[in-house]
Amino acid sequence: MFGYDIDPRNIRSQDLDLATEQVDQAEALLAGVEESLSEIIGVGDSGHVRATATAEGRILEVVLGQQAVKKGSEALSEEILAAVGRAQDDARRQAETMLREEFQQAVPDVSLDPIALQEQLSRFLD
Amino acid sequence: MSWPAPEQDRQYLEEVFQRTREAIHDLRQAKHTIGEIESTGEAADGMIRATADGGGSIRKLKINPRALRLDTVALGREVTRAIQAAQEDSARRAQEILDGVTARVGALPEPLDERLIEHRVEAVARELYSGGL
Repeated sequence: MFGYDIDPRNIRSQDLDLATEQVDQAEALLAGVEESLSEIIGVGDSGHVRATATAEGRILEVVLGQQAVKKGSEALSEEILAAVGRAQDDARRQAETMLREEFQQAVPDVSLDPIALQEQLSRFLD
Repeated sequence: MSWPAPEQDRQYLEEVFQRTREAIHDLRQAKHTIGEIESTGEAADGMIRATADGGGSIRKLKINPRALRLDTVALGREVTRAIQAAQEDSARRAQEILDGVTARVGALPEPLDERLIEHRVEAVARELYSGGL
């Protein structure tokens, strides 16, 4: 699973040192990630509608252009739904990119994709 | 932690296995239940109604044509309020489901690790020194 191979029949003290170092790096990463995530804002546009969302998918604001109501309430609803969905997708993509980059920086010796792992865990519960 | 006696290893393992299976079942059930959440939020005296799913995605948005009489700034604000109300309700319900399952999963027995081996080796060593073996 990890990029660094430890021979279970011959665990050396430097292997333990490296593992401890990796745990420290991962802990520092987790402490910083929450703050970085809170700074992400996703943006989505559709027609005359613009929406913004947080990394967790919470909608911050829906802004309508002057022309947004011209085509009626149903068309407006569809444009809002599209803009909101795009804002959430954008925020999610930013969060995933940030997590991958921070993880790689924090533990460069570990070839593990945190997003793939998350998806794997989610599939396990289907 | 307290260690199972060597003759109880099998029983302990079976218990851990059974409770782990129950925990996974609970987690699957919780995921399914959260997936079925449909939360509604309203604004502009009920003229705007948004529906969020358990993940916070907005599935439906109904705008009464009368709401279009509002200016676009106010209408945007009311749409935002309806969506946020739906998302807040959905997040609260999902959290309640998760809290319930976390309490049960958190009560799982501690897994046995290398400390058990250490404990067993020490027990054998003590037996050897005391002339028991």
